[in-house]
Amino acid sequence: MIYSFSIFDRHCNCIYNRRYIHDGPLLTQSKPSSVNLKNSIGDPLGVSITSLPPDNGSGDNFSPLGITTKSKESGSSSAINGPIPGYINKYNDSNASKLLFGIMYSLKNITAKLGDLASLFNTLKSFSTENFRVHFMESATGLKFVLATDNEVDNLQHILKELYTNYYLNHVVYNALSPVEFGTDANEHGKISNSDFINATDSFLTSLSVFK
Amino acid sequence: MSRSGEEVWKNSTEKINSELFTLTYGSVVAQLCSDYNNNYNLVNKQLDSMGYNIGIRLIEEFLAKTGAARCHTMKETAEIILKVGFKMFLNITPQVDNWSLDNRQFSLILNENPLADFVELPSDAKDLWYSQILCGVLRGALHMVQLDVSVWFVKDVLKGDDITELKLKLNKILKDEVPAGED
Amino acid sequence: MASYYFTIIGTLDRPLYELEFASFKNPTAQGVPGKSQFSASVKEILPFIANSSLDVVEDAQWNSNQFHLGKIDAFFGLQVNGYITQGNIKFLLCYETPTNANLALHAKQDDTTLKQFFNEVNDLYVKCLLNPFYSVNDAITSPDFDLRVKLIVRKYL
Repeated sequence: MIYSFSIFDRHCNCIYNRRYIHDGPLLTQSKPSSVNLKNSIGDPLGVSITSLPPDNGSGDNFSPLGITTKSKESGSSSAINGPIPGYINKYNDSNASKLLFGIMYSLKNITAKLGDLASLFNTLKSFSTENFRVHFMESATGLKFVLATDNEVDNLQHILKELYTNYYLNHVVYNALSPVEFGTDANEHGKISNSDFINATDSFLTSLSVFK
Repeated sequence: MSRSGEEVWKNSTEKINSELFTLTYGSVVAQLCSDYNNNYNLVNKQLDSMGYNIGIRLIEEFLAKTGAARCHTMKETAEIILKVGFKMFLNITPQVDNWSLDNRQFSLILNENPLADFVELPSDAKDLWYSQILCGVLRGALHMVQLDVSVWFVKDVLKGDDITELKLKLNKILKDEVPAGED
Repeated sequence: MASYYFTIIGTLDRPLYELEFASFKNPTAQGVPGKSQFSASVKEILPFIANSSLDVVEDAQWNSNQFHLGKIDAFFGLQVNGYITQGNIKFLLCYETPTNANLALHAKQDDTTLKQFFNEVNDLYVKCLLNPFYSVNDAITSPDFDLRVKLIVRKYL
């Protein structure tokens, strides 16, 4: 199950953040952990589950992993941004996003140091916890692609690569009116908001067997 | 696994009529010259910054299509620029020459230049570097992979020189940016 | 050694390029090869003769589906051959009427060589148009163009 998809640029800003809301019960045994996250800093993966209170917009009630499910009490209408339920670019600057970036950043640095020789390049591909797995890919230009999933999903490197070489390239890089540098200011950076990119990546990700 | 320039050129590069390309670039340059009242230094600067904007996009296409990994030395970088970069975008393979002693500066020699077909410079255009956009492209592309470089033309056959030559100098290798508040 | 006057006239009837020369074939003792031998009085009126034949060109272009219009005008012992490009640029070549002695020879080579001559100049003109710094109806000042026209002249006339 794919919970969220984020892109960070080389200035460490979250330029795209997509959270998917899944119907039905999930993570039944993991409730304690997500409540735990909620109480501390928010969930960096953006995991949101049926039992979470309705979104108040602060973003810090949410899982850093972007795990989001339909809130039964409030209905899902407010959460739906387009045909695929979820949130688009809503939590880019939330602590949850920053926490996720921090995790990836530190893990990436540790990973690089694990190879003892310069020739033995070691890169971070994913990390997993009891319930979650986070998939990571960084381009040589410093773009970081992150997918948060449950632990059932094995390897999504090819999906991340596809998101970069196909979707990011076609809908952002080739789109002359879209910026490729999203500003260096941490507070006021741009976001990928063009609907072609959003729709294309949505339909690509939702079509995957691992999405649901 | 990274792919060769030849392979990318053959299989995953969309091609257009080269005359259309050459004439499009030519009319851009000619229009800039007339917009800036033949102030050729300004035209060079403008071409350079246009190139920079192209470069920061082109590098993504380059990386996505070739799957090239980070280079460890300038020699390696030069090799990739010449044999893969120029090949896949312009279908030419320039020569590399004149390495400086510290291996931070080298010359790119263009045996052919698709940008400059048909072109004859006006006689007063001594200061114009017609293909200056290439400098900008290289600067922009390398900047995105953390290499701060200066690129400039030293010779151009359009000006009556025997060869077309660019110089590329590595100023410094930029550090990856760190998140705010984490030093 | 016949003398020639070649001119390119733009769409606004202004001359863009002109060249005076003499045939390199059958050089005679007098004069430098390639140097025209129009008399001073003829020299003066050459541009006028060329310009006055523009009307004829404009008539002739509708009677032919060829770009090479052939012999279109004669004036004061000078003949004018015309060629019109797709872009409505006129190429005109004025030359002295051949004497009886070489008339037959001349007539034979005339049409085909002149046609080839014009076609090659047209190719050259198109290349010149492709230069981004040149726009239609500008005077053609490129030394390279001049040199190449002279080479074509040498080849055919």
